[in-house]
Amino acid sequence: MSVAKVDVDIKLKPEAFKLWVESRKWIIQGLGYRLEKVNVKETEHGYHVWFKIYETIPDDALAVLQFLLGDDQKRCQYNFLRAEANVFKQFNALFNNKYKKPGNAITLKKLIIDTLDHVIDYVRSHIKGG
Amino acid sequence: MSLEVETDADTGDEIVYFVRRGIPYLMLRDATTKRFIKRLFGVEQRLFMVVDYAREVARRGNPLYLDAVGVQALTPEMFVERDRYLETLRYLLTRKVAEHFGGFVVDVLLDEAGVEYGSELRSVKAVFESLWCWSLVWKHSKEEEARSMEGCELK
Repeated sequence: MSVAKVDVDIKLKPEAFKLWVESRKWIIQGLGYRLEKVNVKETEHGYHVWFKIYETIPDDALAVLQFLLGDDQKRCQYNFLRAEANVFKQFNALFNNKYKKPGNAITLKKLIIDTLDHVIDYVRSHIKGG
Repeated sequence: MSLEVETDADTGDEIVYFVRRGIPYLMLRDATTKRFIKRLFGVEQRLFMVVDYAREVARRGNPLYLDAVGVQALTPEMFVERDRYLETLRYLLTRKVAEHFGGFVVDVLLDEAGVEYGSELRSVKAVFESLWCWSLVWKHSKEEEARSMEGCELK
C-alpha cells in the first residue's frame, strides 16, 4: 500500500473542492492504480489530502504522482531531491504544525533590531521636545 | 474523558490520546467515521528542518540545500509531554547539523521547520525514551548528486 500526500495551498468553495478531489481520483485511476481511501484535513491556508492506494509504488514514481496530483511545487522539488537520495520515505512530510521557535528565544538579529528601535524612539521623542 | 488529537501524517487518520482509569492510551481513529482502527503502543514524533540557501544569497559562493529530520518514538505516557520532547529533539538535531555544517547553517535552520506525528514506526524500530534517530540529505549545487547520512543514537 502507498499513500500519496498532497498539500493544496488555496481555499476553495466546497463544490469546487469536491470536483478537485474527483479529478484527482480520475488521475490515479487513469494511471492504473486502485484508490482505497481519501482523507482530507482543512488547514489554515488550504488542505492536506492523503490518497491511499492499494499498490506499492516506488519512491520516484510516488514523487511524480504527487506532482501530477497538484502538490505544492516547492514541496515537489524537495521530494524529487529526496527520492534521488533514496530518503523519500522519511522525508515525504506533511506537517501537522510548523515548528515555532520558543517564545523567549532571543536571536542576535532580534536584539539588534530591538535596540535600534529603542534608539530611534528615544531620538524622535527628544527631537520633538526640543 | 478529555481527548487530545493529532493528525496521523502517514495516513491522514487521527491519533487520539486519552486516559481511562488512570491508564494512558493512544489510538488510531478514522478521520471521517471517528471509529477506532487500532491501538498504538508508540507514535513517531518527527521534526523536519530545511535550509535552501541558493547561490544568489550564499556567501563566498557556497550554496546549500539541506534536509534534516530528527525522529523519536513516544509512548502513551510520553505523548502528553510531547512539546517538551520536541524541544529536546530540536536541540539534538541542531547540534547534529552544527557538527557537520557549522553554526551559521543552524541559525537559518529553524526558518523552515515543521513537526509531524506518524503511526508507523519507520525510523525508530523500538520505542525507547532515550533513543532518537536522525537523517540528513544535502547538496551544494543542482549539478551534484544529493548525499545522505543517517543514524540512531542514545540521547
